[in-house]
Amino acid sequence: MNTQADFMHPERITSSKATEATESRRTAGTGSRTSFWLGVVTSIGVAGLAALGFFVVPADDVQGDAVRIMFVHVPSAVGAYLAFGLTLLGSIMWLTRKSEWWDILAHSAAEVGTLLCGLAIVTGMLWGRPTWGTYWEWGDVRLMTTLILFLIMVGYLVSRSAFGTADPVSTATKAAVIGIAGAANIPIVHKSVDWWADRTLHQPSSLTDGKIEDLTLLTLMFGFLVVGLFLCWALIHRFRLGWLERELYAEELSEALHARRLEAAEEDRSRS
Amino acid sequence: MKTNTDDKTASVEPERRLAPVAPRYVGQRDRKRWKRGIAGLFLVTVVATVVWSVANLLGDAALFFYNADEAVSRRDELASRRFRIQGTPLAEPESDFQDGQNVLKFLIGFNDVVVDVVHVGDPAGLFQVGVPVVLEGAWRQTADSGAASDTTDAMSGTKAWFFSSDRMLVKHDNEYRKRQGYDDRISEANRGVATTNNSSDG
Repeated sequence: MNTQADFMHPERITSSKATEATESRRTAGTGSRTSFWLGVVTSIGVAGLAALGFFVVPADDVQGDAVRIMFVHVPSAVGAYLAFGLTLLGSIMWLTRKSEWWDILAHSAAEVGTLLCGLAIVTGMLWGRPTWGTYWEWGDVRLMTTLILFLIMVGYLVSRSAFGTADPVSTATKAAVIGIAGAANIPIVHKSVDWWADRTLHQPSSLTDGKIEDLTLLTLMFGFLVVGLFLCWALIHRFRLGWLERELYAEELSEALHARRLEAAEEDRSRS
Repeated sequence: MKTNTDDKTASVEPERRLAPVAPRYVGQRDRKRWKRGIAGLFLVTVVATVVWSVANLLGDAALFFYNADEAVSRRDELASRRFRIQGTPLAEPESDFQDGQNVLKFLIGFNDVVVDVVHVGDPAGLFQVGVPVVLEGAWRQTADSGAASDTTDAMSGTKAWFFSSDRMLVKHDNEYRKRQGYDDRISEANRGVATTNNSSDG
């Protein structure tokens, strides 16, 4: 309960409210029982994938042990596509319905997708060195289109930070436009190995056109499952974090307004 | 009806009028401005990198390499240029060691066109017959180097062309087979050689 002394010092009210809000947020968290078990299953899946990839799958005829990087590289790339697809959906829904839920989903998916896209690029580089003989080729179409997709999505995240929270509607709208432009690159990235088939160092799609040995294919499918689980788990947490950030912002704004009103009332009293 | 007081109020800047109830930035404005400046700079850097990458892509990637048949058909145009050529090694290379460097001589093919290659330097780790390679270098004629002098057309006296490369990348396909198959094929190949030798001896 606020005392007379508190009204003389509005910062005390703000401070106590902030403490209460912090406590409330601490208890709220971003997890739930479901997300906890999802995290446990994902962790077990990662361990299982590592065991399959390193100890069960045989070395490849041509590539030898280097092929094992595929079990992280390909699922990461497809996971990034999925996440950026959600960013596209969320951005369109924001522009059409102005729903915060969709905007937070677009933002969350962009963050997780950028992480997976970065992982795909790094693992691709690590795979390229022993197989192609180089980490990176600036002229290669698949590598360059993937890099451009990654940079656009980094730009999406930076823009959200740069435009700030002062005008969330404007920030979300600008970010949605960037998100749509970024996600529009997905078909270009995916089809680049077909459209420039005789012009790229990258092999054609392993899934749709490739011939994969049974155990290698099984492990690759398991990799998709694990990355899919990770994507769900990370999205749930990031979405909840985004939601709490919005609540915190709204709360801080109302607290600031409240404090300012108290100061104004005090000024009026002192004038009269 | 408006009074003078109303007019005065209306002439005051909206921000000043709202000041008593607006949230204030106490000691945070500079920090936020600084943060936004850094973020803006980073955004500009990202955009510049994207533009540069697109320019690079359009300028180079669309012709990341010429296939062996294209390189042969455009030989006059490419004669003085450094470029990349793609083809599949057709036979085991002849190895040599000159001036402290490995020299490999081999043939690559694409669309029934065969090109002589002289590669200076270590081959890529996965270099082998049947796995396509991308080589970086330039067209040379036999007079430029003694390395491929055996390809000179003795009848016409014309000098033969070969591709002189110093950088090799391997372009593997999307077939994944377990190594066991590889070992079996090597064994079969060895058995085949042994059979051929036996029959020729006989």
